[in-house]
Amino acid sequence: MFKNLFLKSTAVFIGLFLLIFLAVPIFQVFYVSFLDQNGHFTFLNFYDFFQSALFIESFYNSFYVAAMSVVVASIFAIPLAYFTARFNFRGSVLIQSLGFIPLIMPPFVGAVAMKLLFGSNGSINLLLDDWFGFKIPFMEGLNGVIFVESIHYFPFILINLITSLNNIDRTMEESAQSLGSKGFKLFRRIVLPLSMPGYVAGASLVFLKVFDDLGTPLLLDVNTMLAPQAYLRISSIGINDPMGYVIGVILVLTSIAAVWVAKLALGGKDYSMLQKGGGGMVKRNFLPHQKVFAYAVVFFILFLVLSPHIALTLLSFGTIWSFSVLPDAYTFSHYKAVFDNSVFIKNTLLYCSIAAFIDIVLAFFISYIVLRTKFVGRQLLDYIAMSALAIPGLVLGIGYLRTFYSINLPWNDKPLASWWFMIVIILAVRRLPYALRACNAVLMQISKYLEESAESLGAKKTTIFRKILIPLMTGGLLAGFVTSFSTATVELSATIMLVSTETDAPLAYAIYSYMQTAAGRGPGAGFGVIGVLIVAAGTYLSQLIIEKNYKQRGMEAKID
Amino acid sequence: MQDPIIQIKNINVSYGTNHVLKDVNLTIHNKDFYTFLGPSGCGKTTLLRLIAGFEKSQSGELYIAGQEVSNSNPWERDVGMVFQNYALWPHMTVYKNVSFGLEEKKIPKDEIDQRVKEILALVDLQDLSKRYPYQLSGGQQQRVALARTLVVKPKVLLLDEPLSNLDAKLRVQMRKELLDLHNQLGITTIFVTHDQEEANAMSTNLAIFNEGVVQQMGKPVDLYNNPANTFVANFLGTTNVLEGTIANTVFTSNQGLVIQGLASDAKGSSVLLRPQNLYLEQKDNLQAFSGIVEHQEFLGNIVRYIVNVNNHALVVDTLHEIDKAIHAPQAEIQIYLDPAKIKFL
Repeated sequence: MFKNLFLKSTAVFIGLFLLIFLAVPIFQVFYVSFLDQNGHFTFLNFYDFFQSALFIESFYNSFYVAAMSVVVASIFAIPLAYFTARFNFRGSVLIQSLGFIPLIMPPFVGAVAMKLLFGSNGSINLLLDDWFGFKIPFMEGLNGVIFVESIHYFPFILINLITSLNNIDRTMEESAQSLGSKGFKLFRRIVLPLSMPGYVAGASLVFLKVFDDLGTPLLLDVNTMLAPQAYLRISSIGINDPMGYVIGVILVLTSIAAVWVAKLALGGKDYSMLQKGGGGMVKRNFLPHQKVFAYAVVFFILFLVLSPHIALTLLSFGTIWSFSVLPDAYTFSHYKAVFDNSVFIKNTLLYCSIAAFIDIVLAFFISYIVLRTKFVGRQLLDYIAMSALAIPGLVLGIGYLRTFYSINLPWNDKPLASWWFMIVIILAVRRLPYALRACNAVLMQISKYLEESAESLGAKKTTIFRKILIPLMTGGLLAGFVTSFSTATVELSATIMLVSTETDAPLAYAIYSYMQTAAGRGPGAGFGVIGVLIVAAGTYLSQLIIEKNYKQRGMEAKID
Repeated sequence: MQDPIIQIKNINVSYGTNHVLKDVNLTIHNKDFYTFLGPSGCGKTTLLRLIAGFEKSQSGELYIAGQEVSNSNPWERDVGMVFQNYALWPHMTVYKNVSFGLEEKKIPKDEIDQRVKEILALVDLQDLSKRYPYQLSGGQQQRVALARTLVVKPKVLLLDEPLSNLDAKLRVQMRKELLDLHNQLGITTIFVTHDQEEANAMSTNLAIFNEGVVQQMGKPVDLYNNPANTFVANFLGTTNVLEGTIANTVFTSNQGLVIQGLASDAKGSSVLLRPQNLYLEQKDNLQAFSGIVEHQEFLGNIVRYIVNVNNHALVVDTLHEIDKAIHAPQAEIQIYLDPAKIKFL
């Protein structure tokens, strides 16, 4: 049985890869957080953490910012989801496409530009002051982080909520109406509880993303939060300072707790299983004045969502932009600086394509092993690979630094942690869940009978791989590749720990370091625009591939 | 005769250019078990949803208990609907599902409790009141859906293909339970189905729909015996329809088959021959035709043949008995018919 031997050794290889590059680094972070200076076991580090006013404040701030971001994001998301699900509304297409925005640009990229638009001396406040004589502190301290994060991440709630609402079978409402229920009471008793799973899923995702985010608070000069504190401790005091690790442990535990609380809130109920029809709520037409109101809300939120992109673009073309509504003049010089330093772009394209390729190969084999073989412990591969989702990038970065710093490369005696290829690997590990999800989805849709019928016609396993599986999975594999690739291009929190020299740095790091000085903002914004363009193109491409695949599946649906 | 509880007058429903119901007129009497029967897409479910208030008609009138309700909302109509997929709320227990309608009516808590218990006992679910829908079998879910609707004592009970999600054995059992409930509570019931056997077995009256038009209504046996057109004849059981001409009690089919001795008032352009009225044995001077067996199906209690007579493929059913020979395909046989049992259209 050549094939089983091959698959078994592949399974072992993948297991080792995940062990070395995911499990061990995380374990290291936990391990070090319990060591004193002499390498003995202690709880003292955690005691110290809770004795420090700074850390307590940071913990509180991180929690507050994450929770408030969920609140503000909900205020944006709920009306939009309701319009889409309840009414015959042309704006729905517009609303649905908002879901891609957070994939296209992470919040830290636009953070500085948002200051110029919404800061106390930014465009909006200058206009408000001019017209009405007051200012709104959008960007003051923690407000700024909340504002930027919720604008970026509210689509997670929106999309999950819309999906949840669309999964509600219309007979759920109709049977209540038939029993005499109507209006808000019907909404409260039937629609609201049924849409909770989607809302909670989206809200917990927003909470996690915000709680773990490093780049946004750093660029907005808010250091009294957990992620920035961990980064500052490690980068200024060094990798032997236990506090960085303690914070890492707290970040991981909070992530797990948030997922757990979300699970608890759902009570393990999957409502969609019982609602066979689906198709969403009964749709109504807007009355004329409602329609005007709905469009006003949609366009207002659309303006907010696009504001970081607008601000970033203005910043990348502007000469001087300070105390004025718009930049004083426009120039291409920032883009000249960008292309003079195009090594960052080249690095990113190189790292991310290798990482995405690794992802797609690993994901293909993991999903095949999990779904099509009976190997003992095969589910474990899937769980471990997917668990990368719950691990903050910063914590993984710290773990890599700790684990691979003491190992030297054989050819130049430099630490393994500073080798550029480690950036590739950390990106691959971070984005593996995306590729894996894509692969699982496609492989699950391919009926086992397709393989078995080929087998009964005398095809060997290798032929089946080559002639049946790979062709049928091409679309899914490509989509997984593009998603992994494009989201990796703007990854900052994991890679920031591993960049040792400027010449090895990827695009996201360049955006971060340029944005820190007033003079660097223009070119930094230019890099940001380039990054957004790469990701947008990638996202568009993967959508095209998925859509094309759906069309092909018209035939497959009958086979399944 | 009982009093009418639902009157449907000249109802028309269309979605864009799709005319779903065309000039429908129906009267349903109190305590009827009335069935809307027809193939999928014939408009039967639309009419049911129209009675419940989930669809609007472009024209026509709908009376429930003497009141015109075309413009009233579902929650004002006091009709109970059981959906094809049961539509149990997954986030509520069986008890909560059933008490929902009573709570909406602001009925005192003690009375709610009592009525829920009564109805759950009636459908034999008193021990499952704390379960969630996903913990129930299909048949149990069905009974919860019924209990939830019946507990509010609606004027009319609407059932939208309630048996289609059950397996064959359970379907026959639920058929009986539904009828028992109907008889016990004396509630007017409208039942939508595409299954003619279900319709025949259960209904006091039925209406056959095709392409948005009521083809015929009446008691099942009358419709079977005297179908108004070939659609009804074919939909209620299998029928051989022969096209041709009738003149002076003689029918001549387009392919030249001649049947003599029809009733003296016979006229029209086709005759209907039920498979069970075509015999393979001669008795009492029946008319004989010779044919060739094209196909034979052994169905247990009957043997069904397709026999070629004058290039007509006639379906012939014979009761199977243990000592009766079965004709193989290509066999030449005689078939016999009694002209008195022939219907003509």
